[in-house]
Amino acid sequence: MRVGIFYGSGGTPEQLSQLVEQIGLADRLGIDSVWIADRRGQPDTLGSPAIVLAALAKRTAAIRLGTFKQLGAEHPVRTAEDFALVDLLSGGRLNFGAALEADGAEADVREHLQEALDLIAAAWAFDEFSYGGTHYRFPAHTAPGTGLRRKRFGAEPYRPQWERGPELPDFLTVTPKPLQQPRPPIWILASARWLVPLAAERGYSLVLPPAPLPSLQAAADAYEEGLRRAGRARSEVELAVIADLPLGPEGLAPDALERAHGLHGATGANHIVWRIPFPGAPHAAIAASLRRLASEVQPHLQA
Amino acid sequence: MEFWSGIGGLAKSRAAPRSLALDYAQLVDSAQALEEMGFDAFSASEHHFTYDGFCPAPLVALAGLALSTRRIKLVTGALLLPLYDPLRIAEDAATLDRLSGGRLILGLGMGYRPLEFDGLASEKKTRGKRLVEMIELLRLALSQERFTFRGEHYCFENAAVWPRPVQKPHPPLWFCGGNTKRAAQRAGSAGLPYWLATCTYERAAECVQAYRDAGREAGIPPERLRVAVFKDFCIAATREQALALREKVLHAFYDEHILGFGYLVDEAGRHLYNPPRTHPLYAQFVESIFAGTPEMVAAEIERYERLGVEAMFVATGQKELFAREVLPAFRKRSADRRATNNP
Repeated sequence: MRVGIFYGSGGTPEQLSQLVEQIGLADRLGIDSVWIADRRGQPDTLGSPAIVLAALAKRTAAIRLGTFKQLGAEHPVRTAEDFALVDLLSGGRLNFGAALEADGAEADVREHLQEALDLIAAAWAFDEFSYGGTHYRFPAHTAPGTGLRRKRFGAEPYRPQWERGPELPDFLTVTPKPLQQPRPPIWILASARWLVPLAAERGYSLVLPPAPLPSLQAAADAYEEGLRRAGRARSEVELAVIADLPLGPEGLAPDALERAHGLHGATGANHIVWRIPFPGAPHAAIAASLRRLASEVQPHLQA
Repeated sequence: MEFWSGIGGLAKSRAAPRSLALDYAQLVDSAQALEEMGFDAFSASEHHFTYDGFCPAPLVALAGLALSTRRIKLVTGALLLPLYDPLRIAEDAATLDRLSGGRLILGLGMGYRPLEFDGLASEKKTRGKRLVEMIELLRLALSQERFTFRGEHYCFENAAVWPRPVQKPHPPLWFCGGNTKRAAQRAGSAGLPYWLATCTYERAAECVQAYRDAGREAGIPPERLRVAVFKDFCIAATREQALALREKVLHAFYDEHILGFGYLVDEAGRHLYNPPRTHPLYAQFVESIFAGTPEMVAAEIERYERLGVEAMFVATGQKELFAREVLPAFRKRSADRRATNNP
């Protein structure tokens, strides 16, 4: 089982520098993954995940760098470009998680989300392609409803570039490509139940936000069921669960390992992501807890 | 004079492919090397899709340097502003300024390649107006906790961007507007610092004059009328060797970017495809690349200093040579000046 940490906020100047320090420490300790939120509007919210992860990329060596990027506000091709750079800068350590914008109702956002993720995956995987969805078209002059198309190799006779001049190509290549093959993993943050079957159908990995055990178990069962129905193997994807890092008066609570086993038992998750109480707990207490997490909990979960 | 440089930007061609992955793997080393050579800033440019796929997101690339370099300033040269969502770019810029301890400089251009606008679903014909609106919007968003902006293309009521940048009132915003008099006048009357595209000294002098005249007419205080330039150099032991080197550099650039991709733009804003080598715009482009000995290069830079240019982006494949043979004299002079000013 992998062990990760999650930061939901931490955007003030002091928080940001402590966050960088804590993630640097987690990397040296061998924690498997870090995840940061993508929220905006308050002094301590943490937005611009591509910028923060790119900065962390050269400050860390092995920890996987993740976010739950809110899709919808910008063109998915822009998102694909930004995060391809994060993957390149980090030597292939990107975990790309997608989240809904706040208050997204299924009917309004389902198709948006699906199209955005299809387009991002295509941008990372293919050269010279076009995408004609209902909400997104790439390039913009592509007809809606044409879906994903790829230029057939050698389909056209050679023409010098200058003859093409200012004409708009029907197929474009998004560059540079990310480093990971076949592509950086795409995760869905299951903030609503309908996202679970969607992730399963497309073969995206799933992250379950903090919830009581029975509810986590139900979501994990629905994911299994969705995968089975889509004809996909469980080994194609990863299932992660976010839980609050248990802190007692002495730092990390003694039952952390027990809780991890409980989460694994209920869901079959192979990745436990601890939500860091930050801001909240003092920097020193968090640093001490990360050390104990790495030395006392993680070794038992890796077995 | 500050000296800025960078990597990438039109350096990839079909005849000379490169590993982009390796460029990113070496990004920190490249920036640290420039820092050690004595350059003041590392700049990343922006282009999308097949033409020059090096860097579609200069702020993300520069963020890779924020925690791994100490002194060198991080410059976008240029970021194609109309292709972005205004609040997102303000937030990204503020975050990067914060992470880098206040080292961000934004060079902002409007973009010109039709397929970049088509790819990112951005309207091309409004890009000039949108650029001017967005620069004002960025200035407000980065300098005030709450701001209201009502433009023709963008409207925000009582909006806020977090985090707040380190630099006060805001990170420098440079208008990258080509090298035509019209662009210079637009920058001047808007009171924006003006970063002039590569051109000959004579053209630069004309543009700087037009910029200052337009600024004065618009009532902009002279200290707000600041000029930076992009400048290409080919350096060798003799002028003949430098010219031969320029010919070699040009040959590859001409075949790839000038013939095929419409790099040259006439006064009316039309892109030239397959122009003959005898085209006057091509001759101007050739002359814009200064070829000479280190002494001649230094003398050329002094002319720009006398024009009041405060920063020069040095576009050359010969960064080490430039740093060794040209840079030290200017470093020494500015140190002497500092000593005189602060006895």
